Amino acid sequence: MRPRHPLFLVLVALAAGCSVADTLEEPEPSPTPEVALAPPTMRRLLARQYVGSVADLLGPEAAAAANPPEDIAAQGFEAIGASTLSLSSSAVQQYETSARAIADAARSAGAFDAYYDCTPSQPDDEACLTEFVDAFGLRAWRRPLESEELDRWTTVAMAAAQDPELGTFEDGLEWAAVGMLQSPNFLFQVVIGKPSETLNRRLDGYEMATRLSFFLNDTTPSAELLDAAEEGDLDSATGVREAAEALLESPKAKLALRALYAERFLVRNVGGLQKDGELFPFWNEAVAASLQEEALLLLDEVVWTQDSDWKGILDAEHAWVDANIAPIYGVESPTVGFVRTDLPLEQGRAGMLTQGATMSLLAHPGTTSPTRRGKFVQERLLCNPISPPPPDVDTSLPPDPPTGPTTMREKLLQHQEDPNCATCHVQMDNVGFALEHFDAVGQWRATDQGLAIDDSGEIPGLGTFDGSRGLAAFLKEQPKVDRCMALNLFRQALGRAPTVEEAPIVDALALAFETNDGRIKSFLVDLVTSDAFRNVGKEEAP
Amino acid sequence: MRNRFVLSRRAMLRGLAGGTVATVALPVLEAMLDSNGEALAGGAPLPKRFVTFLFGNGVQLPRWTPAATGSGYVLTEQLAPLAPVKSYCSVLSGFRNKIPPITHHEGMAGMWSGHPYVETGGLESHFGGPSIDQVAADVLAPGTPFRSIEIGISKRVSENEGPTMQFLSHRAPDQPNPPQYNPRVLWNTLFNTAVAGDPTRPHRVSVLDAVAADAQRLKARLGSFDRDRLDAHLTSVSELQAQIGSFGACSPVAEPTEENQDIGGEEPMPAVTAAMTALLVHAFTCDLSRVASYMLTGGVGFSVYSHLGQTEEQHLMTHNEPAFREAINDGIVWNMQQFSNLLQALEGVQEGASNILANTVAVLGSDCSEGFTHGGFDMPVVIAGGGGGALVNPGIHFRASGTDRNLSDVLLTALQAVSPSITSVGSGVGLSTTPVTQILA
Repeated sequence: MRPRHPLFLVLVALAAGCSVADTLEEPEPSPTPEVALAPPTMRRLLARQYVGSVADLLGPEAAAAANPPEDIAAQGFEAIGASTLSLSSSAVQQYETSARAIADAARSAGAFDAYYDCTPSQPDDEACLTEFVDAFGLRAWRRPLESEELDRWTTVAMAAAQDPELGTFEDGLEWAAVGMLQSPNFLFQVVIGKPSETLNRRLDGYEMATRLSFFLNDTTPSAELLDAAEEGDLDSATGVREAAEALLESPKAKLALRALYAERFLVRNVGGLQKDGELFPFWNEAVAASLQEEALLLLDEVVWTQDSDWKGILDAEHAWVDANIAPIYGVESPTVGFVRTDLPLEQGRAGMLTQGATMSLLAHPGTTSPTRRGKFVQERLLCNPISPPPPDVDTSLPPDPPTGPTTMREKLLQHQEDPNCATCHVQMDNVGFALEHFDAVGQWRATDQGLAIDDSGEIPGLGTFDGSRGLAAFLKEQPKVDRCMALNLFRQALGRAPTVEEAPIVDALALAFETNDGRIKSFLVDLVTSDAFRNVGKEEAP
Repeated sequence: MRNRFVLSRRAMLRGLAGGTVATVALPVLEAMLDSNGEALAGGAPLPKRFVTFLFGNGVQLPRWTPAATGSGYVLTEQLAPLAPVKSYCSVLSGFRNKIPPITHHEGMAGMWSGHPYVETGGLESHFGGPSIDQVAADVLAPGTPFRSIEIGISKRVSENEGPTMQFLSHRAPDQPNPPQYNPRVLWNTLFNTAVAGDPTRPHRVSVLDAVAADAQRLKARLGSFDRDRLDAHLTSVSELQAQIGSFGACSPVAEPTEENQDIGGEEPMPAVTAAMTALLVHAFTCDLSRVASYMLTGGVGFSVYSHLGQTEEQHLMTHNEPAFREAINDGIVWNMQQFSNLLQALEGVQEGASNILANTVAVLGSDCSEGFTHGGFDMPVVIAGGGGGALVNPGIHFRASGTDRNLSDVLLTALQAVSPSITSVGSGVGLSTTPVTQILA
């Protein structure tokens, strides 16, 4: 059910003699009956969104000075932490320090000039300061200021411009900016929505521009997008689609997707890993950084260069290799940068599932962890929750018997003989067994402690597979894998988990992967044009 | 309640209206003591301090628990680092964490709040109520610039299981207090937030008034969930205004050079611990804050004690207990040495006729009894300090009878040493109204 072409609607409207603007508010049929959506909550800008906004508002010097508090995940997502947690006192303090540093740098760089055309007749030229507050407020707060707000922040600017110890027009600009960058109107995405008689409220144009831009580009909406919002262009699905497609053309879209991928699939944590120096003497920060970049380069290739099925990330037989990590893959070092390299087929490489980043993360400093690897597949690729271990159970793995070493698989299987542990551990270990040919940093190994490796695996209840290639092929056939990706993107887009009532919306979105051949870009457009993205629920009456 | 510490408030909160600059010599409280050195001029008692101290993944009970009870207990191998301050230390054993388990989460929630955690799916949760440092802060913080100080040493903490596992301090269920891991940044926060004579200070404060007005305007338009979040924001804004207003009351220690960056993939835990302990002691000395949480290693114990020559993470080692028994012990002893170093440093600062440790209540605990079982019974606990006379001295080993005494009783004991006005802690199965009276003086 594609929205009709806007020209068609215009012609209909003209013929009917009614206003175009009214008619463009097309009643759009939804694939499912209207569901009462969850009410919105304020969403703190993620740290990268804060910095990106400062860069767009005030330039690179100001962005370099920005230092927002770190994000905190809730329910596994920083985007959800941002919409549920309250700020700590130390975070509020850090925002203050950051705002002062930003404004100072912006002033030095002349970045405030973009927000006024007037020539101040005196330091406390009220009209000119008002012009600045008005223009800067529109961009920074992503909506026009109300008169009360304009007065409030002009008063702040006037006080600085009139202070005998400060006393310049630029001081006025600087202190207005220091404050407006600490306002909840800057720090949070706020959605109220338009008045409505139905179950949900539709976002107004500015709210929509904000939601779109932060989700797809991790930054504040451009002046052009805010203009489009003011014109009403974002009030129709067609307009949202066009805006989304334009945002996806920006290089910022690639970075935004990298950020959420690196969070969800833990890639960004590689840098903090500690490895056993005796077993892996080559491990250092540079290797970790290259593994991280390698993982993201495959994402870039599949989603942006090829615009193909995202699940290609799960079974790629090649890798992007530089000199730091070529030894891990047993291939020749390229002379410069990262080079797309075919990997030895006998290793059975399968994209993310065997990347050095993933394998290092889902391991201990010295040994593999089929448990962590299986948990990752279950929770992050299939969205299957795993129950925690029961208390007061001896979780020690059995030591090697006097007869000689045993494989990790044998140790874990012995562990599973305790029925208390088996229930959950079969759900994890038995998946991870398929990756036992890859050691704690992702090097292929023929044996474990000199013993042959049995890399058969299973997901109890779903099926069995052999080795990494088998696991990859198995996962690619699972509808749950697409649904899990749809769910992850929904959560990132809205900063919350879907409610029980909203589950069919996610189901419908996941189906889009079937019709669009698994292409993320196309999915993102479907997501942002959906009712769930364009509407919010209403707060229940107290 | 008595009118507590009025003088300090007056001394610290200056400049909101552009007041004059005055520098008070260290230690700040000296200037405010009465002639006997036992109370503040005006009769208010010396302020108490409260510290929570966490290391992850428990102990080895056979090498932790003293054989004898009472004041004659002998320090065991893992408690041995406490020897120089033993008279200030009570060991509590045999308590049960009543919070239902999801592996380590119950330990964090039970040891540090007494409120059942709120599960948010899978292995994910946040706290169900404030942590005890924040309960103590409600009593102790008014009048000091920083409500509480949150310190973290090892950065290898759980980041994927929600705020319960990631943080030690929680002001409210949805308001964790993340620790500062970088000593230089903490120094800047504590000693450089407000600089004497800076003409921008009044503007910083009035800007925050306008920020608060924006928040109030938003509150009127948002739902109850966000109104609560904005209230928390508003509280923090006014706390920040007080911080900006306070300056010059304390000569800062030299800015530390330590930034807690990994060196060759290894954490510089000893250097960071030394720097952080020095900052905390100085902040207490200056009365910048009276409450701190100190997360040496996070729950679960993902840290590697490289400085002890170890290459495997502590958590994994406890799951291979027989092979790593001695290495695990080494780590626990090192943890206890860091706690002891803090206590000794507090004892080293004279305050009137006594010292800061004598006015401190410090609670040491972990997120499970022993790592290899994730156990909830016989949680390792030390309550240290004199509590301003509220805690027994010399300290004792108290062992709960039976196997079912509520761990929250220990938390309540520590809080009652701060103030008898606190009569309960925790909620649900974690609720306690019955302190361990044996260690209260």
